[in-house]
Amino acid sequence: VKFRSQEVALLVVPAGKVQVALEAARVLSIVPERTWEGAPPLDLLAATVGGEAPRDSDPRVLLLARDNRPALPIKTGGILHMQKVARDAMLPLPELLARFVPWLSSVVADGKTPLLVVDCARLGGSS
Amino acid sequence: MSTSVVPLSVHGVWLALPAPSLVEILGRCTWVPVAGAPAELPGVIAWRGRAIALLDLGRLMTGAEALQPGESRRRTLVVAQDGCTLALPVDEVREVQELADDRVHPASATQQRFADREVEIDGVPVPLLDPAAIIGSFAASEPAT
Repeated sequence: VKFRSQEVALLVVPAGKVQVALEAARVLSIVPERTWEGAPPLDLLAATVGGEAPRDSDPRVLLLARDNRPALPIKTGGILHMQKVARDAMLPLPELLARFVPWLSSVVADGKTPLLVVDCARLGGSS
Repeated sequence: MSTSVVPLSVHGVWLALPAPSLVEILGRCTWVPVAGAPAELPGVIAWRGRAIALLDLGRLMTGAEALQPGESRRRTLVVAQDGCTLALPVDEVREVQELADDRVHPASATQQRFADREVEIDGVPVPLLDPAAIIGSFAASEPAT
C-alpha cells in the first residue's frame, strides 16, 4: 500500500500579487543562468502569469523533471522559497477555466498571497 | 405556472437570475486572478473545498464596469448550471420574486447579452439572465493561442 503525503513541498516564485509554485520534487537542479550551458530556458513568469523576473535579481535556471519527456530548463528570478502546503488546500482549477490556462493545475487561496501551482507536464507545450 | 427569479444589481444595472440556478449567497469574497483566463472569467474563489470560476457580470453587461484585481463586490452568488458552478460578485441582491408567466416576455425594452427574455419587477422590465447560455459560450469558445 502506498500512502500519499498529506503535504506537498512547493518551490515558490514571487510574481507580483500572486506567486507561481512548482512541485519541489520536480526540480532536479538550480544553477545561476550565467553558468547554464544547455538549451535556452523557458521564462517561467512570461510563460505563465505574463510577468517578468525582477531586473535586479540574479536569474537562475531550474531543470524540471517531466514524465516521459526530457527535463525542461526554465528561467526565473526573484527570491525563491520553499513552502509546504496541505494537499487538500490545493484546489484544482475548474474545468471551464482549465482549457484556457493549461499550465495551471491548482490554486492555493489561504488568505495570504495566492499560489498558482504549475502543471509541470504541460509547461513548455504539451507535445 | 410561474417563474422564480432573483433580482441583482451590478454597478447600478439590474438583472434577474433564474432562482433554481442559485445555490448560495455569500458575502464579499476575495478572488485569485488567473492570468490567461478569459476577461469575463478573470479568476477563481475557494468554495466548499474547491476552486470555482468567477464570472464578472461587469464585463458582460452594458453599463456596468469590470472588476479589477483586488476589488470585490458586497455579495457573491454561487450559481450552478449544467454541472458547472460559478461565483458571481454583485452589489445588491433582493428576495426571490415569484412571477406569473405573463410577466416574462421576450426581451424588447432591455438589451443585454445572454438575456433573451425580460421580466417585470415592480412594473420595470429587467433582463433575465440565461446561465446556460453564458456557460455554453465559454464551453464553445476557443482558447487563445
